[in-house]
Amino acid sequence: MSLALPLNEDQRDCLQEITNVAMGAAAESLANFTDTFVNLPIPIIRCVNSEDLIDSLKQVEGYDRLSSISQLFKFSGLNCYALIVINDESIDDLARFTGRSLDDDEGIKKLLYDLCQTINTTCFERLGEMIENPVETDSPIVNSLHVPLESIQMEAIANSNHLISVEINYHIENNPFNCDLLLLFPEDTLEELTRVLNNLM
Amino acid sequence: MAIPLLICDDSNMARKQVARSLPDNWDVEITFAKNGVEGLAAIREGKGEMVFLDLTMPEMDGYGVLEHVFNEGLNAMIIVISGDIQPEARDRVLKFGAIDFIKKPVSKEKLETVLTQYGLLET
Repeated sequence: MSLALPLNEDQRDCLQEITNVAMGAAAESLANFTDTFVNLPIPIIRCVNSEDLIDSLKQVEGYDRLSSISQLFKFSGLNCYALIVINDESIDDLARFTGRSLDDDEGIKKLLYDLCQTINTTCFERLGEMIENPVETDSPIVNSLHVPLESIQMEAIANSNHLISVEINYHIENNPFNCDLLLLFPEDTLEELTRVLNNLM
Repeated sequence: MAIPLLICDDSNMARKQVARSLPDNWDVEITFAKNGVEGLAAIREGKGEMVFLDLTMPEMDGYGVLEHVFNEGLNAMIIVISGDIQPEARDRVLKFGAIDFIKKPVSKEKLETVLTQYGLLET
């Protein structure tokens, strides 16, 4: 269930626009990585209870086996998280696009790390440029492999009651491939987030 | 006479950014639209001889606007301003008749370069 967004309309619009540009740049990297054309939707911005976050991922509903990889990033010095959720069928598509054979879970993890690097590196580079404050990142962590939606674990966000989630669902044209990228801003970043957004307007 | 200029983007911030980046003393009459449906209606009313068009929008996206303008033979010079920077996106909009593609975020310099290149700032 979504909560009331603790941003005014201008702040929401600004967050949507900067993430749209950052995630759009990341789409180009994904397109290069897979040698395809990536369809880019409008980012969905919500405020959710952290325990409801995973369940509320509409885009990945209906898939039995999902994997996820997360990465801590410093937005204006504060800990935020990027989370990529992808279904098994799309992992197979990704392997095909990139000409890899997936023999075991190690191969899958390697592919997930590369996917994460591909999308996140560009996304954060561009985000940092726009807020004029470079975004640093930690190493990505594979949270779960081949599990149902409700079993995806993400301990890092459990400390936050609620968070602002920016969700984008990347689709590849004429292909069932899709994966979700979420940028998660915990509640203790809200003050700084709104300050940065206000400065950009 | 002022050129009818349409700025079509779903983001209020992006619309303001484009408006702020227009060359000084450029004689234009600005109309704003927040999705493709509104934008297309404005073009049909002659309010968009010159158009700055976003691609990712609700209701009707930028590709939809370009397609309608192309098929209906409407009089509009369209420059796409988008965060979708895939070369394929650029190729597609040019194929649909857009005259150029500017990557977001837009700036005064970028706009002026493109407008000068097409001789659109000459009186």
